[in-house]
Amino acid sequence: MSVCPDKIELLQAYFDGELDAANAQALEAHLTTCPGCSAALDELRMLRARFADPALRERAPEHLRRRVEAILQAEGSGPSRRAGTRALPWGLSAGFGAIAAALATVAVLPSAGALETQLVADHVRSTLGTRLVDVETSDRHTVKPWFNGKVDFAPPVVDLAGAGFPLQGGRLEYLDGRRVAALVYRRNKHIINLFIWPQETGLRLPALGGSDDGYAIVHWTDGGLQFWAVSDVDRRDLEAFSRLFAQHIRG
Amino acid sequence: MLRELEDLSYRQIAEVSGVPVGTVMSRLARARQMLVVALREESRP
Repeated sequence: MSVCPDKIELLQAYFDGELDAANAQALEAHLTTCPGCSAALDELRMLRARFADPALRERAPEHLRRRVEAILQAEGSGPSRRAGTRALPWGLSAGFGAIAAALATVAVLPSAGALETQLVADHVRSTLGTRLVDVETSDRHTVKPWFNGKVDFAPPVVDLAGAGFPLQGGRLEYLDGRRVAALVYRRNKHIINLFIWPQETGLRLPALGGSDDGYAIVHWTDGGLQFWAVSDVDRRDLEAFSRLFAQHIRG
Repeated sequence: MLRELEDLSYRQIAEVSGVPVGTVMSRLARARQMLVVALREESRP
């Protein structure tokens, strides 16, 4: 005794109140004669009851809410405004928070500063996850050849440990449709991601945005490559880092 | 998730996730089906 395969979606639409009256009536009639489908409906109700458990709900941090609201206000049109005025319940289950955050990022991308947003997101992801580096070493002579064949350019790698920016390793990133080299440095407890890729990518680079929510971004170009340093260190530190890096590759 | 926790309609879910309503329906159906099966197995000793 199981649900009729052709009724699965109808049943769920009915359960969600998305079915028009005629179809709803037809389905109700079917339910009275089909134990499989009515059992399936009961299971849907049980499922919903389990989702209603308040323990599943975790309040999103207030600053996230403010950020999203600011973005919605800035955009001020389209479906996003509707969602805003609808006053979404901010109960996000822990595991699902990331999905909502990812959606928020996607929504922001088409606006100006898209690249910065992506860079910061990448930086944050690298510091949260388990994959800060693909190749973990403080030896620049190991990192540089590691990128051979992985990217179609040779990212310069310099040793800045003496200046208080020890190299942590390298990572391959995928940004805006192309492979990008990411070098990872450390400043005390802070991580600095330096993204490098060739200049002639057709990427429309917005004018240098300063920092995004406490993340500093420094951008420069050199020798046909573009460099984007992203970190939560003090902006002056990141600028010092960028200057040193640029000086070192020029020898 | 959007349906159960955020209480969005199919059309709203389609808008936020950028897929047709039909896809929302089939994905939702599949996801719930999987959850039901998973819960069934969990409750089994």
